[in-house]
Amino acid sequence: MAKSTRKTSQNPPATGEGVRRLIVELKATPQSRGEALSMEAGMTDSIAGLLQRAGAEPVADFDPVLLPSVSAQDPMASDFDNSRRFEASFAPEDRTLVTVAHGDEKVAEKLMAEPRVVGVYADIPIEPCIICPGSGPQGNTADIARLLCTPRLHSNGMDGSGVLLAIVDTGINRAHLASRGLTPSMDSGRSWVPGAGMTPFDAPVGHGTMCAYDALIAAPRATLLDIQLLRSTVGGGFGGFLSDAVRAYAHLQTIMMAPTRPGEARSLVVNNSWGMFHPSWDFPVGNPGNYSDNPNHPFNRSVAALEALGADILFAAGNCGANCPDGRCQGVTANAIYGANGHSAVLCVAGVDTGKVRVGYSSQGPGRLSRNKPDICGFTHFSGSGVYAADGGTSAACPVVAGLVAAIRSRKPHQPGNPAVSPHAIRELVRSTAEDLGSAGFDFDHGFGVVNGCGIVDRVVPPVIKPIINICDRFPDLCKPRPVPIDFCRRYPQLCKLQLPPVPIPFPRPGFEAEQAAADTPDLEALLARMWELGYADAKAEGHTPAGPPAKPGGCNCSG
Amino acid sequence: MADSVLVQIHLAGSASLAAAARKLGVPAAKLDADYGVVAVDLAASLYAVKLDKSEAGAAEKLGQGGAEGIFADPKIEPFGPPDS
Repeated sequence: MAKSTRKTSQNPPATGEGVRRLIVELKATPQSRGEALSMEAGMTDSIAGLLQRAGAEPVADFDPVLLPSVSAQDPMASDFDNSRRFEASFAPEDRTLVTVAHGDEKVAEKLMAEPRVVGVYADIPIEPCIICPGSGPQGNTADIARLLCTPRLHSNGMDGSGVLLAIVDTGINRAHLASRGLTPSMDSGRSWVPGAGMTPFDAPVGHGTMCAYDALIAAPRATLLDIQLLRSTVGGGFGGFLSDAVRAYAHLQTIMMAPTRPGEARSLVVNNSWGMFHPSWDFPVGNPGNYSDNPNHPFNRSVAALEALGADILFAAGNCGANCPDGRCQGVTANAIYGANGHSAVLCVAGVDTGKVRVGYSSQGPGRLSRNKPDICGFTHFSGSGVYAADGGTSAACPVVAGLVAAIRSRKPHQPGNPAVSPHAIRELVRSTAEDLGSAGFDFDHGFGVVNGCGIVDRVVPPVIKPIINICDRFPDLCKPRPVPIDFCRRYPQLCKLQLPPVPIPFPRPGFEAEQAAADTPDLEALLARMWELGYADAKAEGHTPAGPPAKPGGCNCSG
Repeated sequence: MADSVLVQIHLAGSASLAAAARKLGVPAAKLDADYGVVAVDLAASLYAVKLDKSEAGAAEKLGQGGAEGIFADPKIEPFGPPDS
């Protein structure tokens, strides 16, 4: 079948009114086998001509597809088989071809009038289902653990042990965690409550308990601090004021500044799944007292100070994503990462589901204090703590990542003055190992991508060197210092009767390669052949003129 | 205390309500004693107090645009599973 040389436009016709993508199904004539087989050559003349007559514009990057014919079985037939209600025929005379073109209703009618056209259908756009408020959970705790690579994390001691993990939230309920099988270490003495009558780890079951649960997925052995910031019942729900957060952070600063014993590390990870929902809650931008855009605001200063003391601080990006924002955003979805949530000294966490698709409500960058936010995505909207139908919002994504950071800190504890383990270095580690999502590299929907627990393990844990055989233990004679006047054949007469390559000159000295060769080739024949190769390479490297390589193994070329 | 503002100030030496009140030139009773003097950044000797809104004029002498001054105290809420 001749290939079409006509250049087809990739754009729809200029007359845009009513023009849409159409799926055009045609009878597959016997020639169509050739047509389908030459798909890689693009549109064929006969199909192109047919479309052109009807005024349709073929879509250039769609190669026609051959389909079998499908017929339904007659349910009244005696041989009706309920398990095979449809029959497909791949016979050439039964098959059809589908292609795609642009056209309006009139074009569709003309196409239908063509004898070869079997049908014309709308080519409907499809999109992934995005999780929005009210969506059911997707996946569960076990899925999150798998996605975070917790088995490898935990087997390498990256489980939160030795790390303080502060949940700055509505408070944690110890009994609820226990009912889910979790009994983490809890430090009431270093926890904080805003007023009398409140007790750490005895808060009503709610948002803070969810956050604690989610943080423990990656860091089950972290020590929790219950920082009950959001204990005032603002507007019927839980909330507070930013001035309370200044107090809470002052408390956290005292923890970081408390004296340590020599050699004692103090790693503190701080999870914050809260923030502002709307600019009207704040002074206007430009007002010197503004919070959202002002690094001088007391709370933004508090965050910077705590990070400078060595704490790893994470903030949820917010739930004002453009696709389906929380109602409290009041429709404001642009530049919705406010204040400390987008501070340069924190990890700003967006949300993806267990399919690594951004959830529709996850706030998008840029950040107001620091432009390139969010930094990273964590997993959210899964069946987890049991506090809600789904552990959702960027509220859940943030502690999932906080737990991972705590797991990292088990292996890389904070040391004042050591930049390799500074909070900045940890943020860089999380960002640089992330699995890229969306546009290549950083983007305002996903940051640098979704957290990658396996990638972090690969980066943090040095590779295990395979145990090797000590060649000197195994072959003591090979380890004599050079020069090596070994009369190989006298020493190993039985070997010289075999078809072996000549003894290398000079004889290879034991080294890593030799040891590795010994480990890999336990059988002596193969080992000697390998030694020959290494010795030849060594000799050449040192400027010797060794005997040339044998064309094939043969006899023992002994010296001495 | 109702209708208060958040004020950030540098305090050298003793970080007490009395010292904060002297800096702002207001009676100590006008400051929120329950809130107290809260450390914002000890390295920079920065602290925060809450001041009755009616006395906010006193804070204006701290100037504008720098670390010292009156700042918003917006409400904050958990992001939680979202509500449509």
